[in-house]
Amino acid sequence: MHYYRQTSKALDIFLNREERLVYTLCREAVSDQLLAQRTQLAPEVLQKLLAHLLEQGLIEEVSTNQKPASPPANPSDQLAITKSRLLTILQEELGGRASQFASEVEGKEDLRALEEWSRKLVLKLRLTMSQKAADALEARLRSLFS
Amino acid sequence: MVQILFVLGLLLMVYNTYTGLQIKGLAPGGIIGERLTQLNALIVFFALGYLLVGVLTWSRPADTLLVIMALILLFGAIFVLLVLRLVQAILKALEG
Repeated sequence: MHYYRQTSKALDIFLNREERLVYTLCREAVSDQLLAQRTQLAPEVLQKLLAHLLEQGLIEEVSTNQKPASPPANPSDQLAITKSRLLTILQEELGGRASQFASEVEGKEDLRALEEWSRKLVLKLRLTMSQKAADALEARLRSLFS
Repeated sequence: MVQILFVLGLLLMVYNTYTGLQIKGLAPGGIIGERLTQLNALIVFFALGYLLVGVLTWSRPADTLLVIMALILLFGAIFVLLVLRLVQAILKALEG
């Protein structure tokens, strides 16, 4: 079992959906097993992503004596993960228009506020942008917040 | 009197056309966006209708029928204005 953690290097490259999720989860030292469990990615895919992030210097391997006593599962981690997934979903469903909502997502301080904002966004999309996109987003948000 | 009512109605419809197009920019799609496309097309159609009726009846002597028609047209324009104001208020509420 290996442990990984974000380095202090600024995130200045484009990460795909899975890479971004793994990078976010590595905010605190986290094991590869826990990463696999949380991301639900196949081990070989996860290893490739970790190798890429290591190569970019965005995460580092933590030695076993530095590993955390318990896996991180506090509410702020949960919020960060949900934000990351929500941004990915928005990117996939809305494309370029998703960037205009990124700052609003990042500004939310708890899960309930984020969920409420998401539901309002679905309504806004349905009324002013695209009913099709709103339906797709609503279905994915249901699984995200359930 | 009748001419004034026609001109007021026409000016209001021109303003409604401008407002409708402006609102359309805020809601390009979705339920409101789709309905606004139809609404704007009808607003333009009615604005042209006001103009046509005004031109055709300009030199006619005012009678009761003409006054009633001019009033209906004017209140029709006010109705459209109120609908557009309602849509504006909904969009503003969604922004907040």
